[in-house]
Amino acid sequence: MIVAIGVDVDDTFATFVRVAVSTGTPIRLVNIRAAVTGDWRFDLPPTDGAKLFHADGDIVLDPNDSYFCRLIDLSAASDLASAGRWRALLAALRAWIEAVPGRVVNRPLGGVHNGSKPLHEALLLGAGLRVPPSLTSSDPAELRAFAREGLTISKTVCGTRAHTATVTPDDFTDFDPESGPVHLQRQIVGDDARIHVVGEHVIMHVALAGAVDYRRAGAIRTMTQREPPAALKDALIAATPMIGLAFAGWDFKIDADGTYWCLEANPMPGYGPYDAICDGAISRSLLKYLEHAS
Amino acid sequence: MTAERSKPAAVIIVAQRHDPVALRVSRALIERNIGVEWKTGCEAARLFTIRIDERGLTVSPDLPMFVRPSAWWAQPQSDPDARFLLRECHATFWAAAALCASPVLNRPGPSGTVGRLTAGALGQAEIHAAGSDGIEDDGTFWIEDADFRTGPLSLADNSLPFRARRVDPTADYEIVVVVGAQAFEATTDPRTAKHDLPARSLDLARRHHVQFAAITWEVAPEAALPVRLNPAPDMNELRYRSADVLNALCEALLA
Repeated sequence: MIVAIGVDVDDTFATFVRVAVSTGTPIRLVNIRAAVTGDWRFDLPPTDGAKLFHADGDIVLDPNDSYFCRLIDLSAASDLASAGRWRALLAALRAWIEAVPGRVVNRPLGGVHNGSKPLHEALLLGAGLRVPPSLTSSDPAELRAFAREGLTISKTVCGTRAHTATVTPDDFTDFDPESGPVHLQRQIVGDDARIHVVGEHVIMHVALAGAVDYRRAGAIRTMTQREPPAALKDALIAATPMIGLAFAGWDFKIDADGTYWCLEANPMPGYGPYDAICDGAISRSLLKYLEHAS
Repeated sequence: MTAERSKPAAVIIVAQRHDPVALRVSRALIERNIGVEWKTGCEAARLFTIRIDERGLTVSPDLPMFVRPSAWWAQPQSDPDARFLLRECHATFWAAAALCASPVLNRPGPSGTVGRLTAGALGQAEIHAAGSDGIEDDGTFWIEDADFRTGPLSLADNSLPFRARRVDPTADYEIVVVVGAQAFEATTDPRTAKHDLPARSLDLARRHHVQFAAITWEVAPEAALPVRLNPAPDMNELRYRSADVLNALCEALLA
């Protein structure tokens, strides 16, 4: 059995469930927004089923089932009492899901290194992928020198979504180290590719060049599905579990020579908009991956 | 921050100045004529330059570090920009400490820094629950609720979720401190000797990717169970073998 655990207001979760229903795939749902209002019991180690009791109905989770998780924390949007229940339920779910033996998509600890870009890029390099040169520093001389070496963009170190901006050496003339650290990366001019990988399934979408960040430019809708180079496909099928993920949304830039430069591997990707372009192919791949284990 | 001695810093201590364990380590290093430099978490983050290019990866400076959670204890930031900058510093230091070639205690990994692990994370039976119905209260359960109150299961009320585990009220406790490949038992009590706690502690530390930790064991005649792994031991846990532990920490940092 496939169990989907998430929140009903999450578009990606809704996309997955919708495709499961439309393909007639048996699936059980846990809506965390409902579960948090009821009672629960999770035994560790997970030798027995976990139990959730709430108004929508009682559910027993079998540790041997397959799990699609999007454990989104809405405690910050809740009142004080509810926030405590959110944190406690998510802590229980994370501990239990991390321990179950079966296939899990979006394990809680999977890919957390994406929260430190230099560390993440080092891991991508170690997985055999080509990564644009980068520098993380609070030293104005180092930052200026890097920016002088070629087209340069500035990104957040911690991965918080922000405007990715082009920078020049002059931007660091009066730089105060107390304003740092700063993460700079060599800008690759070219098309954008998003490649979703789950198990052996690889689905690539390409957006034509034109923006530093195609997602902010609203270009997702214009993306087209293409077959990735065979060598890259094999590399990503191997690299995805190597960096601790069952499912990843890989971001690449394709330069004028046709070289694929890896920008990042998104853990728990919000793949809904891409799935809409390929008529649910990503969701179907996820279901096949989870069904295979079931 | 300046070096404690005229020698160039050879070890960076990343901690608040009043951290008792960090103070002891600092003193031990200085007694060995090793230069020490103190940094808070943000100060340490701003020290490093991390470069990734066609030649590979470099972290500079590349110096041994002794890292404590107190490094990040700061006044809560109400300003969103200040909170963001704190996250940027944390992410940078995480990468530098994970990637540098020199010894780091404790070195963060791809999943971050290991926090305090309690019984459930160490493989012992534990229950996470909301509502105590269905848990038979035989007097052996101990809970911690969502407000961090601890006590017997009877303390649980239906409004607060809690974690629970069985506690043996007749059990003894032993603490084993791990530093690298060395393990130091707090006592020489013969009741704990038969449980091979040093070897089991080293195995636990290795599996959880920590190089320095205090592991607390619940010891009964027939079995000993790990109930806490603390990767930031305080002096209460170290004091039984402090000389040996400090010696081992210095050796590990200077390896």
